[in-house]
Amino acid sequence: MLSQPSENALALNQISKTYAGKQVLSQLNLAVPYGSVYAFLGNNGEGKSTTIRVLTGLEAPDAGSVTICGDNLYAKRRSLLSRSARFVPDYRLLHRLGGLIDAPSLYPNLTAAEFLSIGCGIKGLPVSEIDRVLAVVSLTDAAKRLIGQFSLGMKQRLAIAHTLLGDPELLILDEPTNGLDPSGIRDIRQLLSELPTRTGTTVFFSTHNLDEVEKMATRFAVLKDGRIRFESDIPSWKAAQQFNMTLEVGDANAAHTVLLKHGFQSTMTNPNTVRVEGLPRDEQPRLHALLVNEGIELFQSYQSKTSLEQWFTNEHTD
Amino acid sequence: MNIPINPFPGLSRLLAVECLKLKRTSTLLMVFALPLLVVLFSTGLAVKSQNLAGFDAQAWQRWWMGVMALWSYFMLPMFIALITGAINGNEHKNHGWRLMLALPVNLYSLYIAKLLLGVLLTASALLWLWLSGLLATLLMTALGAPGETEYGMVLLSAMPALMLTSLPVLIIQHAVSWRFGNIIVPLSVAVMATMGIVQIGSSEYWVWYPWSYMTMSAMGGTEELRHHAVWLSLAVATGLFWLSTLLAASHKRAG
Repeated sequence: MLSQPSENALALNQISKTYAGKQVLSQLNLAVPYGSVYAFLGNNGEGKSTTIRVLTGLEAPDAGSVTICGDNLYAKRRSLLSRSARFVPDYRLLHRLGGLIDAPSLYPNLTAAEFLSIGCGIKGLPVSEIDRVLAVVSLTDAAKRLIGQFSLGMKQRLAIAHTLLGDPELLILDEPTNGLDPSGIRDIRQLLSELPTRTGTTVFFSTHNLDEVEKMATRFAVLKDGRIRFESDIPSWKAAQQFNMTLEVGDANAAHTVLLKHGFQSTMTNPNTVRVEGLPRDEQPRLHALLVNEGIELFQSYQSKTSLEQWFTNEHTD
Repeated sequence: MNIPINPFPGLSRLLAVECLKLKRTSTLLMVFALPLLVVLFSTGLAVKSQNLAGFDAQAWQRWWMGVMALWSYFMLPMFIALITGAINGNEHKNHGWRLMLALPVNLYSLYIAKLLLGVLLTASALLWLWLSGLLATLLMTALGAPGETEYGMVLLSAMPALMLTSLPVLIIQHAVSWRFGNIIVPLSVAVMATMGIVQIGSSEYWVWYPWSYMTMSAMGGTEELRHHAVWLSLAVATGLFWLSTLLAASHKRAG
């Protein structure tokens, strides 16, 4: 059943899905490389949750294919109750991924260890796996506590521990920090960003929290109208971002003249301050050197970059 | 990735998992409490209407009929609705479907494992009903009723037929609880169906009404009628099982 390793832990090829006559996903293509922490961004109603459901076998696509670690998740089969063939997931492939869809409330009557033994029992894993995954999410001390007594953050960590049972190659998480307090968000963020190096797991997650993407993802894609509208790795995106610089100088008028002469978009905001807009990162040293070489006193310079949130709001919100 | 030798769960493993989910819930309490309640209630009524010292064969029969009537007409259908509701409600209220179906679980196996757990709990309740009944006869004898343990055996012999005739109702209630998240739906089905047992169960149309099979097997007038109820139950249960299992897959997971 298991095929040769492919380049990508997860690949979606021309996935389309329609609900009640509305096209939710339209020929969606996506590739998640091994070892990445891949963020899946989009406003509400753009199809993020549908994509996650398709990836975890909960919702069959109308067309296209989903490949998990090189194997096709769906095959077309004819059921006894239907005349036409339709996509059916190969549930055995789910062994290779850990899926968390929405924040589960778990089973409050069970202890953390008992809850994890559900996954162990289903996946046929030794009970030692329970201790291992509890240690990964720092819940070893809570192994014998009832889940009903857990905070939301602890529940979320436990749910992630459940997805880690059997050391899957790929984690698919739907808004893993939704509803958590700041410390819970920080814990989950740290946990997920460390997973590829600690366990070799590839992480794919959907989120609304753009700050989170910047801090923890290695790559991201933006979904709009059921299609991927933008995709980039975080370092490339950051390098391509332009900055605004504010310079405190001895003579703003002279500085402004020099900067304009050399093609910078300069504005004099007061007699000692000049503002330069749309400056690429690698132009900053040249700008500083230019002012100093022209004999202009440079007291201070500070930059403001466009955050992912600002960028997303500008580019992808109607 | 740690791929175990046998990575895909069989029914026994799924059944163990489903049993675990009921830990510390009131479901197991129901298995013991409801049969005991029926025996206590029937015994109380019998003792109230007849002095223990004058407990003759007719009084023993009344007691036995009281236990069986209360159990098969009312408590067993409600018990089945409650346990199937609890087994499936576990997933509905805790977002457990998403958790379970993101695991390498065959949907059919999960459906069948939950049904099997319902069968096991019903069998346990029937066994406990018999034990409670037997204890009641021993207690009444110890308290002065003329020696009569025959009805312990009468009760025991009725249990296999009750188990088999409860299968169609178990399957129907399981399918309803699997489909609907709100416990009110399966309970409403059970309440309405139970109300129909008295009317339809005593008419010639009882064969079309699975809820009447249980009472017919326990209290049918002739042995032939009781056997008829058992065989009819098996046939209906087989059909319902295939149909409901196929339909279960059209819900929950893709495919």
